[in-house]
Amino acid sequence: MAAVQLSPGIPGTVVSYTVIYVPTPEFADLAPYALAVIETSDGERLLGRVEGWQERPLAVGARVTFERADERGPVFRLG
Amino acid sequence: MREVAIVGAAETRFGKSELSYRELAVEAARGALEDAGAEPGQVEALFLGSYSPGTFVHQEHVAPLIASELGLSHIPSTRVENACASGATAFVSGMMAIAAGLYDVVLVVGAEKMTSTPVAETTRILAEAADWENESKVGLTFPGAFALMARAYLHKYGYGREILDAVAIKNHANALANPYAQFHKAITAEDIAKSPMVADPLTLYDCSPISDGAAAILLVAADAARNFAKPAVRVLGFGQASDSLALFRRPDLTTLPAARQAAQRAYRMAGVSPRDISLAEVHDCFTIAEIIATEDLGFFEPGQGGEAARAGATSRDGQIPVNPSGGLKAKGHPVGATGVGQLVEAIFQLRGEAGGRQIDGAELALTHNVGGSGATCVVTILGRAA
Repeated sequence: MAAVQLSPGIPGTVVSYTVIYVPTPEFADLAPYALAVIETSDGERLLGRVEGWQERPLAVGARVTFERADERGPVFRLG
Repeated sequence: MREVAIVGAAETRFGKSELSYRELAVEAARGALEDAGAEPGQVEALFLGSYSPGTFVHQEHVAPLIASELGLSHIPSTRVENACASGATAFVSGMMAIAAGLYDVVLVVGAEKMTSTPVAETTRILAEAADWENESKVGLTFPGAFALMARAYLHKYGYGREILDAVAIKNHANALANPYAQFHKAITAEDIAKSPMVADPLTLYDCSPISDGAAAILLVAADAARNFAKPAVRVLGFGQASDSLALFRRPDLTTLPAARQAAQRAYRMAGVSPRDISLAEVHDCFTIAEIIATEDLGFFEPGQGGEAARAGATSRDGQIPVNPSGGLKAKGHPVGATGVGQLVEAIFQLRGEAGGRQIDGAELALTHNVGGSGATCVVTILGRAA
């Protein structure tokens, strides 16, 4: 299955989430970072990083917005 | 299909070992042969479960290596890899070969040497068993995958983390009576609360350790079992199933559909139901995985596994003893060895040789070995010698 192509600004909902404290060497500079299973408004499911979790509560059912994709995959923002 | 029996079983102690990969595998294999009163020359084929010896100890092509170290000259030897279910999948390969009538005597070994690798590197090696493009490359680790399941489970059924604590405390307590276990240390909820976070909500004490170890069993055609020293344990049923590597592709994060499929197949083949099982060795790579396993195996209804763990229904004297060995959590998790080690514990229990952790009157034992976050699952049901 090909990677999901998302347009910036597309909304989504957190299905489940975690914050990774013990990363692989490639993610050592980012830890701790939040990851979530997200269902977009188009009904696509994917795994992405969530930014803004230190300022706002990250929870199952929280609303997120797709912001960008970088070499480490899709990035969403809380709220 | 011919019936299959197990006449020999052995394992090394799990944990940080001075022994090399090949020394661990050879120790377990020779132990299983000795246990059965068998000579190496009787072995007709070797199946070796191992996840990633190439990256852990720079050695691929390990099946003929171990066969030759054992003096099993020129027999067919095959490595089997299915992530953390490599061991049980090697067992399935051996079982099918005997059931099909190709061989009468097959040695199955599982081995892994993990502790000579730095933790961050090990975290990546294990993450390679997930969907690299869509999960590992995005930053998901294995503790992270099971943390996503834990968060979903706690949220769906309204539990707090005390159900996770109950699994860790029980399995550490069970391992006190297991001489092969990595940890001989009772823990408390306070210890868990003080332990560092690995992947929220999972702390260090929710995670199985990084381990070295090996385990081995000798499989034979059931009609040849009387030629060996130990009473034969019967293989009554098995089931294997697969699923997407990527966790997020599954609609419900609180169950492993492959485990449910594998269990149904095993129960059907054995002609038994969950309530007939005397004890289960399940794949508690993380505390939440044991709770989900007890539901997927049909011991408890969805959502009830957490309460069962909290109420002690899975302790050694409970309704269904789960992981009397201490499980992956406290016995240890040398990934390629784990599935074979679960079978070894089941065999010890069914032969009444489990010492201080013996489940009295054990008739039927079930093992549940999972690869990745549930992309492979093998369930096996063994019965006491007739």
